[in-house]
Amino acid sequence: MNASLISFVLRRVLTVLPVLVGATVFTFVVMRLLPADPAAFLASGPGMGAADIAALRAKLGLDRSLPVQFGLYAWQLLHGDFGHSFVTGNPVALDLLQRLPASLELACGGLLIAAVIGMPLGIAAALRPGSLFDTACRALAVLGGALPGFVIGVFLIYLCYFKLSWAPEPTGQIDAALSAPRIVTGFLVIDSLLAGNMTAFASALGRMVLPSLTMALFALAPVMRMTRAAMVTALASDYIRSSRALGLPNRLVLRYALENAGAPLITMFGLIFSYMLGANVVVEKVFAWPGIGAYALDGLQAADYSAVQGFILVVAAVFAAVNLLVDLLCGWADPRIPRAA
Amino acid sequence: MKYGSSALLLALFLALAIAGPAVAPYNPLAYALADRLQPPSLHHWFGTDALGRDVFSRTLAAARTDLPAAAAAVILSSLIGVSVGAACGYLGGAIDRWVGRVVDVMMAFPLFVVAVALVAALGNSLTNVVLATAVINLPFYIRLVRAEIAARRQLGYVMAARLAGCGHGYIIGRVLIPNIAPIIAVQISLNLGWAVLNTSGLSFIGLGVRPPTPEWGALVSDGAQYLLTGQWWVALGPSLVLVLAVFAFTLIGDTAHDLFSPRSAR
Repeated sequence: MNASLISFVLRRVLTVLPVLVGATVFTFVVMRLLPADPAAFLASGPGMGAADIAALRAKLGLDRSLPVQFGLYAWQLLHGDFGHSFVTGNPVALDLLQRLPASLELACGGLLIAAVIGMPLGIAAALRPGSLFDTACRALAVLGGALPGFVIGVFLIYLCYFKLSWAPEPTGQIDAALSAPRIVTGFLVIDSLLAGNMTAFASALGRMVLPSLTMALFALAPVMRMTRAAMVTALASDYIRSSRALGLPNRLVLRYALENAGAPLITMFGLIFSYMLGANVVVEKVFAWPGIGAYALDGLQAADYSAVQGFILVVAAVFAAVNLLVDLLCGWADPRIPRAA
Repeated sequence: MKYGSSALLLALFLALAIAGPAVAPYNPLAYALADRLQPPSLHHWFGTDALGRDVFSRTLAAARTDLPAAAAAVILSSLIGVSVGAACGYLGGAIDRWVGRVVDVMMAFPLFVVAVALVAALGNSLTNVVLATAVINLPFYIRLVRAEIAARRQLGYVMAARLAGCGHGYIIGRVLIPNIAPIIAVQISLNLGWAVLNTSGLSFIGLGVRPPTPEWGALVSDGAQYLLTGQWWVALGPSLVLVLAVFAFTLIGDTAHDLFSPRSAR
């Protein structure tokens, strides 16, 4: 660890601040200002009069000026106070922290499947641009882009669970009869494996297959398209032509091209990961997955604004963290990216 | 073949949306409890749902909800996005930097989540679903138009227009925008597909239309409840039509892209 690397990392950390500030402003505007009157809504129960509403407004700070309200709001967030959910009765921060690993597990599983299938297809298409295989891949990508996640999920359940009984019941992360393993990473599949609990591992893995497959089908088209684009660019470059002219074996040439396509590929995975965090909402609903997306939807239906607002902030924070990681990995994958910039 | 088939698909969908009620075999809202959950047959092409309503008629009627909603969202976001993007690209400077920053932050969020939050805050109605869809598509137009205009503002024909005494408004509206119209057209047709996906996705999770109103995402969500008891047809018909509609728009966008940028077509 030298000084220039540390200052590079620090500068990168500073660049995600605008996203976090933007997210805070966004949730403040959307969740606190747009709803007609949160106090009137909360106090709409029977036996609540104008005095109760006024008291609630004072308690929520709604009688102060906007900048003061925003300041109070940001202050609470900085202290980890995301408010209380009146659906679960718990602090929102606690609820989200418990559910976040389930969502991340799903997104990671989906991304992994999409990468394992999509990258070889994209590379093969880039090797023979314009071929029948390339055209078929492109058609597949267009078709994949037209498939809504909820349609895929719903019919995967019908086919694999109802018709063929291959998949376990689409209700949550693990069989309700099994006790969950001790939480280490929060990823149920990994935790059960660490605990050596093979029954729990099999159940958790089995229940992950269909939802991650749904998520993967979402990501497959962009993975394939972007891998192809990155490889076409790399293969068209001078060093590849030189390597071919030198008579290097194809395997080696391909490796050089892949190494150089590394940085754009890492950027692509970062983009797709954040896109999948949005797709999570729908997939979690279809599979009754206990993640933050399902939590936000439940909150939404009950007009539980603290829950929805907490969800948006967490997603923004995860997104910022992923972007930071992408930046750092790109610097590692491509030494030409200047660290001073 | 590709041009023909995509145009044909689009024409089919427009015709169905316009002629929908006239050709629908049943009233999409009429209950017929005696005919509940019938599998597809000659009388009911897509079967019937739990209230005996004809799924085919409902799917047809839903085109009249989804297509105008998607079109309205795309018109709204393209009008605002093109104006803002053109202003930024042409003027540059502080406005450009600040708008660019806001757009970056917007793109930073998973956009579907932004749409969910907007509908939650504004109130659960179809109008707000359209508004939210328009908002989340804005950054794409702003970025695209900004970049294209910025690349052209110093070109000879723009200089000539300026020397001829044309005002900035005239140069943006009558010289630059017509020059990038094909690029905007491609974006609009791709965008229509996303807008349909977004509208139906929001409806699937319960945002947007109110129950008896037929809408593709809501129809799939409704049918999903009967999948696990074996009545697959309630969800299948609307799913297929929805996928076909999005596919048609994507294909049109792809075709338009090939037509307007022959150099990048392979």
